[in-house]
Amino acid sequence: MSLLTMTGLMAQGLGRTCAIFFLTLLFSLPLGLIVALLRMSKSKIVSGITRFIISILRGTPLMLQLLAVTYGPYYLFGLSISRNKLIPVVIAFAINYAAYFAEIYRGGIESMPVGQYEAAKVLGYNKTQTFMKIILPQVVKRILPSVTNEIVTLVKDTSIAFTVSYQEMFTIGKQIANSQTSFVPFIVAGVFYFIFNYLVDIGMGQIEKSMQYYK
Amino acid sequence: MVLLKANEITKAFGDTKVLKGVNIEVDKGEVLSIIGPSGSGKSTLLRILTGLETKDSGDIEINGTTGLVFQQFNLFPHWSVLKNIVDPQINVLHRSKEEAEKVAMNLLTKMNLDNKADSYPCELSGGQQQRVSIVRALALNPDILFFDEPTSALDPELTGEVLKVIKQLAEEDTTMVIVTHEMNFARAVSDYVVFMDGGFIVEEGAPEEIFGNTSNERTKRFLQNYQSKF
Repeated sequence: MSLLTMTGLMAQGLGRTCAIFFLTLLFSLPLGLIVALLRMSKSKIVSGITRFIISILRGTPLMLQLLAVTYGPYYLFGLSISRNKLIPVVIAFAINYAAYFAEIYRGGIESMPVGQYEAAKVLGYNKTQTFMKIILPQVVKRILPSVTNEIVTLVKDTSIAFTVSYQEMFTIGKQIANSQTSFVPFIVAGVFYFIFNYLVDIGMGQIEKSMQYYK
Repeated sequence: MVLLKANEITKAFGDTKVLKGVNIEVDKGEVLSIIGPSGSGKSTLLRILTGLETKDSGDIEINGTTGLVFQQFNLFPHWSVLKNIVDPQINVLHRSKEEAEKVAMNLLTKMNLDNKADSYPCELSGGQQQRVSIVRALALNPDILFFDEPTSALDPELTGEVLKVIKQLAEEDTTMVIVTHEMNFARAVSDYVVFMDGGFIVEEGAPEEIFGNTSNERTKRFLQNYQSKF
Protein backbone atom coordinates (compact mmCIF):
# COMPACT_ATOMS: atom_id res chain seq x y z
CA MET A 1 0.00 0.00 0.00
CA SER A 2 1.40 3.36 -1.01
CA LEU A 3 1.98 6.19 1.43
CA LEU A 4 -0.64 8.22 -0.39
CA THR A 5 -3.28 5.51 -0.05
CA MET A 6 -2.49 5.09 3.65
CA THR A 7 -2.67 8.80 4.26
CA GLY A 8 -5.92 9.00 2.32
CA LEU A 9 -7.52 6.21 4.32
CA MET A 10 -6.38 7.70 7.61
CA ALA A 11 -7.54 11.16 6.59
CA GLN A 12 -11.03 9.73 6.31
CA GLY A 13 -10.91 9.24 10.07
CA LEU A 14 -9.92 12.83 10.74
CA GLY A 15 -13.55 13.97 10.75
CA ARG A 16 -14.22 11.60 13.64
CA THR A 17 -11.04 12.70 15.40
CA CYS A 18 -12.27 16.29 15.10
CA ALA A 19 -15.72 15.23 16.30
CA ILE A 20 -14.24 13.81 19.51
CA PHE A 21 -12.10 16.90 19.93
CA PHE A 22 -14.75 19.58 19.43
CA LEU A 23 -17.60 17.77 21.17
CA THR A 24 -15.38 17.06 24.18
CA LEU A 25 -14.49 20.75 24.44
CA LEU A 26 -18.10 21.80 23.88
CA PHE A 27 -19.31 19.73 26.83
CA SER A 28 -16.31 19.67 29.16
CA LEU A 29 -15.60 23.40 29.31
CA PRO A 30 -19.03 24.36 30.73
CA LEU A 31 -19.27 21.12 32.74
CA GLY A 32 -15.87 21.86 34.26
CA LEU A 33 -17.10 25.25 35.45
CA ILE A 34 -20.11 23.66 37.12
CA VAL A 35 -17.89 21.05 38.75
CA ALA A 36 -15.50 23.79 39.93
CA LEU A 37 -18.38 25.68 41.56
CA LEU A 38 -19.60 22.48 43.25
CA ARG A 39 -16.05 21.80 44.40
CA MET A 40 -15.97 25.28 45.99
CA SER A 41 -19.41 24.88 47.55
CA LYS A 42 -19.79 26.01 51.14
CA SER A 43 -21.49 22.70 51.88
CA LYS A 44 -18.77 20.31 53.04
CA ILE A 45 -20.78 17.35 51.74
CA VAL A 46 -21.10 18.77 48.21
CA SER A 47 -17.48 19.88 47.99
CA GLY A 48 -16.29 16.61 49.56
CA ILE A 49 -18.20 14.42 47.11
CA THR A 50 -17.08 16.55 44.17
CA ARG A 51 -13.50 16.40 45.34
CA PHE A 52 -13.71 12.61 45.58
CA ILE A 53 -15.16 12.28 42.08
CA ILE A 54 -12.49 14.59 40.66
CA SER A 55 -9.76 12.53 42.32
CA ILE A 56 -11.13 9.33 40.78
CA LEU A 57 -11.37 10.90 37.33
CA ARG A 58 -7.86 12.29 37.53
CA GLY A 59 -6.40 9.27 39.32
CA THR A 60 -7.45 6.56 36.86
CA PRO A 61 -6.58 6.20 33.16
CA LEU A 62 -8.88 7.78 30.62
CA MET A 63 -8.68 4.50 28.71
CA LEU A 64 -10.19 2.66 31.68
CA GLN A 65 -12.93 5.26 32.02
CA LEU A 66 -13.69 4.95 28.32
CA LEU A 67 -14.01 1.18 28.62
CA ALA A 68 -16.25 1.58 31.66
CA VAL A 69 -18.57 4.03 29.90
CA THR A 70 -18.72 1.95 26.71
CA TYR A 71 -19.11 -1.54 28.14
CA GLY A 72 -20.17 -0.86 31.74
CA PRO A 73 -23.89 -0.54 30.93
CA TYR A 74 -23.78 -3.97 29.23
CA TYR A 75 -21.99 -5.78 32.05
CA LEU A 76 -23.89 -4.03 34.84
CA PHE A 77 -27.41 -3.74 33.45
CA GLY A 78 -27.40 -5.92 30.36
CA LEU A 79 -28.03 -2.89 28.16
CA SER A 80 -26.94 -3.19 24.55
CA ILE A 81 -23.67 -1.53 23.60
CA SER A 82 -24.42 1.58 21.59
CA ARG A 83 -23.58 1.12 17.92
CA ASN A 84 -22.46 4.69 17.50
CA LYS A 85 -19.30 4.63 19.59
CA LEU A 86 -18.99 8.41 19.36
CA ILE A 87 -21.55 8.73 22.16
CA PRO A 88 -19.65 6.79 24.86
CA VAL A 89 -16.35 8.26 23.63
CA VAL A 90 -17.59 11.83 24.01
CA ILE A 91 -19.27 11.08 27.36
CA ALA A 92 -16.09 9.56 28.78
CA PHE A 93 -13.84 12.29 27.36
CA ALA A 94 -16.11 15.14 28.44
CA ILE A 95 -16.39 13.87 32.01
CA ASN A 96 -12.66 13.22 32.27
CA TYR A 97 -11.67 16.60 30.84
CA ALA A 98 -14.30 18.38 32.92
CA ALA A 99 -12.46 17.12 36.02
CA TYR A 100 -9.21 18.66 34.81
CA PHE A 101 -10.85 21.88 33.66
CA ALA A 102 -12.66 22.13 37.02
CA GLU A 103 -9.37 22.24 38.88
CA ILE A 104 -8.03 24.83 36.45
CA TYR A 105 -11.15 26.99 36.89
CA ARG A 106 -10.90 26.60 40.66
CA GLY A 107 -7.29 27.73 40.67
CA GLY A 108 -8.21 30.74 38.55
CA ILE A 109 -11.23 31.70 40.62
CA GLU A 110 -9.31 31.37 43.88
CA SER A 111 -6.48 33.51 42.53
CA MET A 112 -8.83 36.48 42.07
CA PRO A 113 -8.15 39.26 44.57
CA VAL A 114 -10.90 39.66 47.17
CA GLY A 115 -11.00 43.38 46.34
CA GLN A 116 -12.79 42.63 43.06
CA TYR A 117 -15.62 40.91 44.94
CA GLU A 118 -15.76 43.70 47.51
CA ALA A 119 -15.86 46.44 44.90
CA ALA A 120 -18.65 44.62 43.06
CA LYS A 121 -20.62 44.19 46.27
CA VAL A 122 -20.28 47.82 47.28
CA LEU A 123 -21.35 48.93 43.80
CA GLY A 124 -24.50 46.83 44.05
CA TYR A 125 -23.81 43.84 41.82
CA ASN A 126 -25.46 40.63 42.99
CA LYS A 127 -23.51 37.38 43.23
CA THR A 128 -24.41 36.08 39.78
CA GLN A 129 -23.62 39.40 38.10
CA THR A 130 -20.36 39.64 40.02
CA PHE A 131 -19.32 36.20 38.84
CA MET A 132 -20.46 36.48 35.23
CA LYS A 133 -19.46 40.09 34.51
CA ILE A 134 -16.46 40.70 36.72
CA ILE A 135 -14.85 37.48 37.93
CA LEU A 136 -15.25 34.98 35.08
CA PRO A 137 -13.86 37.18 32.26
CA GLN A 138 -10.72 37.79 34.29
CA VAL A 139 -10.48 34.12 35.27
CA VAL A 140 -10.60 33.11 31.60
CA LYS A 141 -7.58 35.27 30.86
CA ARG A 142 -5.69 33.87 33.84
CA ILE A 143 -6.33 30.21 33.05
CA LEU A 144 -5.88 30.34 29.29
CA PRO A 145 -2.29 28.97 29.27
CA SER A 146 -3.34 25.98 31.41
CA VAL A 147 -6.42 25.41 29.25
CA THR A 148 -4.22 25.42 26.13
CA ASN A 149 -2.12 22.72 27.77
CA GLU A 150 -5.18 20.54 28.29
CA ILE A 151 -6.43 21.14 24.76
CA VAL A 152 -3.08 20.09 23.31
CA THR A 153 -3.26 16.92 25.39
CA LEU A 154 -6.84 16.33 24.23
CA VAL A 155 -5.73 16.34 20.59
CA LYS A 156 -3.37 13.46 21.34
CA ASP A 157 -5.81 11.71 23.68
CA THR A 158 -8.36 11.33 20.88
CA SER A 159 -6.23 8.36 19.82
CA ILE A 160 -7.40 6.52 22.94
CA ALA A 161 -10.73 6.00 21.16
CA PHE A 162 -9.05 3.07 19.39
CA THR A 163 -9.67 1.00 22.56
CA VAL A 164 -13.37 0.85 21.70
CA SER A 165 -12.69 0.60 17.96
CA TYR A 166 -14.18 3.97 17.10
CA GLN A 167 -13.02 4.55 13.56
CA GLU A 168 -11.09 7.75 14.09
CA MET A 169 -7.79 8.50 12.40
CA PHE A 170 -5.51 6.61 14.78
CA THR A 171 -7.75 3.54 14.91
CA ILE A 172 -7.62 3.32 11.12
CA GLY A 173 -3.86 3.85 11.19
CA LYS A 174 -3.45 1.03 13.70
CA GLN A 175 -5.54 -1.30 11.54
CA ILE A 176 -3.44 -0.48 8.48
CA ALA A 177 -0.25 -0.97 10.48
CA ASN A 178 -1.45 -4.43 11.53
CA SER A 179 -2.62 -5.56 8.14
CA GLN A 180 0.42 -4.21 6.26
CA THR A 181 2.93 -4.96 9.05
CA SER A 182 4.16 -1.42 8.56
CA PHE A 183 5.28 1.29 10.93
CA VAL A 184 4.54 4.05 8.42
CA PRO A 185 0.91 4.67 9.53
CA PHE A 186 2.19 5.62 12.98
CA ILE A 187 4.49 8.20 11.46
CA VAL A 188 1.60 9.54 9.40
CA ALA A 189 -0.52 9.71 12.58
CA GLY A 190 2.29 11.57 14.34
CA VAL A 191 2.41 14.13 11.54
CA PHE A 192 -1.38 14.56 11.66
CA TYR A 193 -1.35 15.19 15.42
CA PHE A 194 1.52 17.58 15.12
CA ILE A 195 -0.25 19.65 12.45
CA PHE A 196 -3.48 19.57 14.46
CA ASN A 197 -1.68 20.89 17.54
CA TYR A 198 0.18 23.46 15.52
CA LEU A 199 -3.21 24.87 14.51
CA VAL A 200 -4.41 24.68 18.11
CA ASP A 201 -1.34 26.67 19.15
CA ILE A 202 -2.04 29.37 16.59
CA GLY A 203 -5.72 29.56 17.55
CA MET A 204 -5.11 29.71 21.27
CA GLY A 205 -2.31 32.22 20.71
CA GLN A 206 -4.82 34.47 18.93
CA ILE A 207 -7.30 34.18 21.80
CA GLU A 208 -4.58 34.98 24.34
CA LYS A 209 -3.52 37.95 22.27
CA SER A 210 -7.07 39.27 22.16
CA MET A 211 -7.00 39.45 25.96
CA GLN A 212 -3.68 41.19 26.29
CA TYR A 213 -5.26 44.64 26.23
CA TYR A 214 -5.30 44.63 30.03
CA LYS A 215 -3.12 43.40 32.85
CA MET B 1 -30.02 65.90 59.46
CA VAL B 2 -28.36 62.73 60.69
CA LEU B 3 -27.42 60.43 57.82
CA LEU B 4 -25.59 57.79 59.78
CA LYS B 5 -25.85 56.69 63.34
CA ALA B 6 -23.93 53.74 64.72
CA ASN B 7 -24.50 52.63 68.27
CA GLU B 8 -22.23 50.49 70.44
CA ILE B 9 -20.72 48.56 67.54
CA THR B 10 -18.67 45.56 68.58
CA LYS B 11 -16.69 43.11 66.51
CA ALA B 12 -14.29 40.31 67.30
CA PHE B 13 -12.20 38.14 65.00
CA GLY B 14 -11.83 34.93 66.99
CA ASP B 15 -10.58 35.97 70.40
CA THR B 16 -9.39 39.37 69.23
CA LYS B 17 -11.85 42.14 70.02
CA VAL B 18 -11.38 44.69 67.29
CA LEU B 19 -14.26 47.01 68.16
CA LYS B 20 -15.37 47.31 71.76
CA GLY B 21 -18.45 49.50 71.53
CA VAL B 22 -18.08 52.36 69.07
CA ASN B 23 -20.56 55.18 68.58
CA ILE B 24 -20.47 57.41 65.58
CA GLU B 25 -22.80 59.94 64.02
CA VAL B 26 -22.56 61.70 60.67
CA ASP B 27 -24.67 64.68 59.63
CA LYS B 28 -25.51 65.61 56.09
CA GLY B 29 -22.70 67.61 54.51
CA GLU B 30 -20.27 66.68 57.23
CA VAL B 31 -16.75 65.36 56.70
CA LEU B 32 -15.69 62.98 59.42
CA SER B 33 -12.15 61.66 59.62
CA ILE B 34 -11.17 58.60 61.57
CA ILE B 35 -7.53 58.50 62.59
CA GLY B 36 -5.57 56.12 64.75
CA PRO B 37 -2.73 53.62 64.73
CA SER B 38 -2.81 50.40 62.70
CA GLY B 39 -4.98 47.79 64.36
CA SER B 40 -7.10 50.39 66.13
CA GLY B 41 -10.22 49.06 64.42
CA LYS B 42 -10.88 52.04 62.16
CA SER B 43 -10.85 50.09 58.91
CA THR B 44 -13.03 47.36 60.42
CA LEU B 45 -15.52 50.01 61.49
CA LEU B 46 -15.62 51.35 57.96
CA ARG B 47 -16.08 47.87 56.51
CA ILE B 48 -18.98 47.25 58.88
CA LEU B 49 -20.62 50.56 58.01
CA THR B 50 -20.37 49.76 54.29
CA GLY B 51 -21.67 46.22 54.67
CA LEU B 52 -18.45 44.40 53.80
CA GLU B 53 -18.22 42.99 57.30
CA THR B 54 -20.88 41.96 59.80
CA LYS B 55 -21.03 43.41 63.27
CA ASP B 56 -21.31 41.26 66.39
CA SER B 57 -23.62 43.67 68.18
CA GLY B 58 -24.86 47.24 68.08
CA ASP B 59 -27.16 49.20 65.79
CA ILE B 60 -26.51 50.98 62.55
CA GLU B 61 -28.96 53.39 61.03
CA ILE B 62 -28.19 54.80 57.63
CA ASN B 63 -30.56 57.18 55.91
CA GLY B 64 -29.54 56.87 52.30
CA THR B 65 -27.10 55.10 50.06
CA THR B 66 -23.39 54.62 50.59
CA GLY B 67 -20.33 54.46 48.39
CA LEU B 68 -16.83 53.26 49.20
CA VAL B 69 -13.43 54.16 47.83
CA PHE B 70 -10.85 51.47 48.52
CA GLN B 71 -7.21 51.73 49.45
CA GLN B 72 -6.37 49.48 46.48
CA PHE B 73 -8.79 51.23 44.06
CA ASN B 74 -10.26 47.88 42.97
CA LEU B 75 -11.16 49.05 39.50
CA PHE B 76 -12.25 46.27 37.14
CA PRO B 77 -9.13 45.80 34.98
CA HIS B 78 -10.90 44.20 32.01
CA TRP B 79 -13.15 47.23 31.54
CA SER B 80 -12.25 50.63 30.19
CA VAL B 81 -12.38 53.61 32.53
CA LEU B 82 -15.72 54.61 31.03
CA LYS B 83 -17.26 51.17 31.41
CA ASN B 84 -16.05 50.97 35.02
CA ILE B 85 -18.15 54.05 35.72
CA VAL B 86 -21.07 53.36 33.37
CA ASP B 87 -21.86 49.72 34.05
CA PRO B 88 -22.68 50.09 37.78
CA GLN B 89 -25.04 52.95 36.99
CA ILE B 90 -26.93 50.84 34.46
CA ASN B 91 -26.90 47.91 36.83
CA VAL B 92 -27.93 49.62 40.05
CA LEU B 93 -29.76 52.80 39.09
CA HIS B 94 -31.10 51.38 35.81
CA ARG B 95 -29.95 54.45 33.96
CA SER B 96 -29.88 54.34 30.19
CA LYS B 97 -26.47 53.91 28.62
CA GLU B 98 -26.55 57.46 27.21
CA GLU B 99 -27.46 58.97 30.55
CA ALA B 100 -24.85 56.91 32.41
CA GLU B 101 -22.18 57.95 29.92
CA LYS B 102 -23.16 61.58 30.30
CA VAL B 103 -22.85 61.35 34.08
CA ALA B 104 -19.50 59.58 33.72
CA MET B 105 -18.09 62.08 31.25
CA ASN B 106 -19.20 65.06 33.34
CA LEU B 107 -17.46 63.67 36.40
CA LEU B 108 -14.35 62.65 34.44
CA THR B 109 -14.13 66.14 32.94
CA LYS B 110 -14.41 67.65 36.39
CA MET B 111 -11.42 65.54 37.47
CA ASN B 112 -9.45 66.27 34.30
CA LEU B 113 -9.68 62.63 33.31
CA ASP B 114 -11.98 62.92 30.30
CA ASN B 115 -9.09 62.06 27.97
CA LYS B 116 -8.70 58.75 29.84
CA ALA B 117 -12.26 57.51 29.28
CA ASP B 118 -11.17 54.86 26.77
CA SER B 119 -8.03 53.83 28.63
CA TYR B 120 -7.77 50.71 30.72
CA PRO B 121 -6.94 50.93 34.43
CA CYS B 122 -3.49 49.36 33.86
CA GLU B 123 -2.60 52.31 31.63
CA LEU B 124 -3.19 54.84 34.41
CA SER B 125 -1.02 55.96 37.30
CA GLY B 126 -2.10 55.05 40.81
CA GLY B 127 -3.36 58.56 41.44
CA GLN B 128 -5.43 58.52 38.25
CA GLN B 129 -6.82 55.08 39.11
CA GLN B 130 -7.88 56.29 42.52
CA ARG B 131 -9.55 59.35 41.02
CA VAL B 132 -11.41 57.09 38.59
CA SER B 133 -12.56 54.93 41.48
CA ILE B 134 -13.84 58.07 43.21
CA VAL B 135 -15.76 58.95 40.04
CA ARG B 136 -17.12 55.40 39.90
CA ALA B 137 -18.47 55.77 43.43
CA LEU B 138 -19.78 59.31 42.86
CA ALA B 139 -21.65 58.32 39.70
CA LEU B 140 -24.09 56.35 41.83
CA ASN B 141 -24.98 59.51 43.81
CA PRO B 142 -24.27 58.05 47.24
CA ASP B 143 -25.58 60.02 50.22
CA ILE B 144 -22.44 59.16 52.14
CA LEU B 145 -19.07 58.46 50.57
CA PHE B 146 -16.62 56.37 52.59
CA PHE B 147 -12.86 56.36 52.01
CA ASP B 148 -10.63 53.59 53.34
CA GLU B 149 -7.11 55.04 53.45
CA PRO B 150 -7.46 56.39 49.92
CA THR B 151 -3.82 57.42 49.55
CA SER B 152 -2.04 54.63 51.43
CA ALA B 153 -1.32 52.61 48.28
CA LEU B 154 0.02 55.60 46.37
CA ASP B 155 3.53 56.87 45.84
CA PRO B 156 4.02 60.01 47.94
CA GLU B 157 4.11 62.28 44.90
CA LEU B 158 0.69 61.01 43.80
CA THR B 159 -1.22 61.50 47.05
CA GLY B 160 -1.67 65.22 46.39
CA GLU B 161 -3.93 64.87 43.36
CA VAL B 162 -6.24 62.47 45.21
CA LEU B 163 -6.39 64.58 48.35
CA LYS B 164 -7.16 67.63 46.21
CA VAL B 165 -10.17 65.86 44.75
CA ILE B 166 -11.48 64.86 48.18
CA LYS B 167 -10.98 68.41 49.39
CA GLN B 168 -12.94 69.71 46.43
CA LEU B 169 -15.76 67.29 47.28
CA ALA B 170 -15.71 68.53 50.86
CA GLU B 171 -16.11 72.08 49.63
CA GLU B 172 -19.16 70.94 47.66
CA ASP B 173 -20.66 69.64 50.93
CA THR B 174 -20.34 65.95 50.07
CA THR B 175 -20.95 63.85 53.17
CA MET B 176 -17.81 61.81 53.72
CA VAL B 177 -16.28 59.45 56.23
CA ILE B 178 -12.54 59.15 55.72
CA VAL B 179 -10.17 56.72 57.34
CA THR B 180 -6.75 58.24 56.82
CA HIS B 181 -3.14 58.46 57.94
CA GLU B 182 -2.72 61.89 56.37
CA MET B 183 -2.89 64.04 59.48
CA ASN B 184 -2.45 67.42 57.82
CA PHE B 185 -5.11 66.52 55.33
CA ALA B 186 -7.51 65.31 58.03
CA ARG B 187 -6.96 68.54 59.90
CA ALA B 188 -7.62 70.66 56.85
CA VAL B 189 -10.61 68.86 55.39
CA SER B 190 -12.58 67.52 58.37
CA ASP B 191 -15.48 68.98 60.30
CA TYR B 192 -15.06 66.35 62.93
CA VAL B 193 -12.23 64.01 63.86
CA VAL B 194 -12.43 60.69 65.66
CA PHE B 195 -9.28 59.21 67.18
CA MET B 196 -9.48 55.46 67.66
CA ASP B 197 -7.13 53.16 69.53
CA GLY B 198 -7.53 49.58 70.69
CA GLY B 199 -11.11 49.26 69.49
CA PHE B 200 -12.34 52.35 71.29
CA ILE B 201 -12.92 55.95 70.37
CA VAL B 202 -10.35 57.61 72.59
CA GLU B 203 -11.15 61.17 71.69
CA GLU B 204 -13.33 63.03 69.24
CA GLY B 205 -14.02 66.62 68.38
CA ALA B 206 -13.31 69.46 66.01
CA PRO B 207 -9.96 69.18 64.20
CA GLU B 208 -8.51 72.15 66.11
CA GLU B 209 -9.26 70.41 69.39
CA ILE B 210 -7.68 67.12 68.37
CA PHE B 211 -4.70 68.41 66.43
CA GLY B 212 -4.33 71.79 68.14
CA ASN B 213 -4.25 71.26 71.84
CA THR B 214 -5.45 67.87 72.89
CA SER B 215 -5.20 67.11 76.58
CA ASN B 216 -5.55 63.39 76.01
CA GLU B 217 -2.25 61.58 76.56
CA ARG B 218 -2.90 58.82 74.04
CA THR B 219 -3.89 61.22 71.30
CA LYS B 220 -0.84 63.33 72.08
CA ARG B 221 1.48 60.35 71.91
CA PHE B 222 -0.03 59.17 68.61
CA LEU B 223 0.27 62.58 66.98
CA GLN B 224 3.81 63.12 68.27
CA ASN B 225 4.76 59.70 67.01
CA TYR B 226 3.39 60.67 63.63
CA GLN B 227 5.22 63.98 63.46
CA SER B 228 8.53 62.56 64.66
CA LYS B 229 8.48 60.06 61.81
CA PHE B 230 8.98 62.85 59.30
